[in-house]
Amino acid sequence: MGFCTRSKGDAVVTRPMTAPTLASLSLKEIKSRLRRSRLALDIPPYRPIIGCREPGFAEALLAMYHDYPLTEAQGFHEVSLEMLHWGSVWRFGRRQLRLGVNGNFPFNPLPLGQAYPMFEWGLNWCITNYLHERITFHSAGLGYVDAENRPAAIMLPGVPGAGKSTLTAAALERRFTLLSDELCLLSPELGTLLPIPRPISLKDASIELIGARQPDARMTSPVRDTTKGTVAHLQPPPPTAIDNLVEPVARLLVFPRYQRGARLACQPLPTGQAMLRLADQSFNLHLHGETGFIALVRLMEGVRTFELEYSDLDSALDCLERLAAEAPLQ
Amino acid sequence: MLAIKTQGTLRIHVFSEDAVLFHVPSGTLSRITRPLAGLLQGLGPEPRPIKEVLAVLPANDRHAAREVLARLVADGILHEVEG
Repeated sequence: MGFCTRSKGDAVVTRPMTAPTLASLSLKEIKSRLRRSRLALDIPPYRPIIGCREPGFAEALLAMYHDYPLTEAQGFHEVSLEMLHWGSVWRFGRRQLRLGVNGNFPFNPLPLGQAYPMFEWGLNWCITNYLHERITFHSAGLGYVDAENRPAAIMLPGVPGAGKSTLTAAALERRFTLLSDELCLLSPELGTLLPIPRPISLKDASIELIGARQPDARMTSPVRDTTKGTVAHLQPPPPTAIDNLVEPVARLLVFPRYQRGARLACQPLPTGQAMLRLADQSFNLHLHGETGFIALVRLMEGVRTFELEYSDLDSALDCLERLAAEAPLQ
Repeated sequence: MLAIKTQGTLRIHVFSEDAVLFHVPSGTLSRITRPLAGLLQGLGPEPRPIKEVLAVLPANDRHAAREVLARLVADGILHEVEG
């Protein structure tokens, strides 16, 4: 039996995952449900219902969400995501894929073959656009147990290309657990971060780098020529091993910056400066007004703040481990 | 003489090295120095002459503070009036 957490108002509800997982279905059945847009999964914070006819999508979904529970297709779903063929060879030239989100089509179509990254990007888009009970940051998040034996988190905010996902994927080889490689969801009331451990999006040289470090890890086939370059997704740890079932409080805020050939440099940042940089990485802080400011101040009062420039992954991980082992702020 | 007053509610939080200012009506977040934070905390809807406001700062900080005040006026966070 596995577990997952879901936030409901002020409380953090932990519930057993007794539902069968995606792995309990045959590939044929998964494809059948995807064709009919009836594949429903529990992927915190949402229960998306998914549809796609693109070859290879079912295999990628099964590889990434192998241990995630199924939900009733007839039940309530916060979002529906469909990767639909669009255009016709005969009338409009090249066929493409377009993303349907709850029946709307918010994006330009993408080439065939990009269904899996489109699904992951679409799910991220839903979280940043719909989940406003949380303050959402463009940030990776790692869980750990701090020097006082409390569940804690490192936030790793940064612009695309800063090295968040690569660092996150490699950090799972150490003492850290995955909260997210892309989004940190802060509860304004509790000051905790909701774990959303989904597949890690690796790009370009990181795919080979992590593949070589973690030869047993499951990864989707690289998809070339996307808007983000070549993209592959790395399977997250199974839900049963995730996060000790609690939402941690951030104790470290580290702004990573990958710089080819750079020597490791980890500099403390003034808290106010770090707060503004973190606010820059928020998708919806402005919607929370004064409550958001208070929540952010409370977060900042509890974290130590650093800027980490690195080129060598292991040195960067050593540094994160050292910081995590030090006494947290009270 | 020019004077300044706040334009709507300001929230200021002072950290150990610097401070942040949140302008509630616009949602604008700014980083400011600790001395300037102290100065702005004493500011309200009643106009105060800029010279008097700046006089409480160390002489070395006044030029930078004047620039920050000008930016806050330009952003609509403070209001400049004849005082």
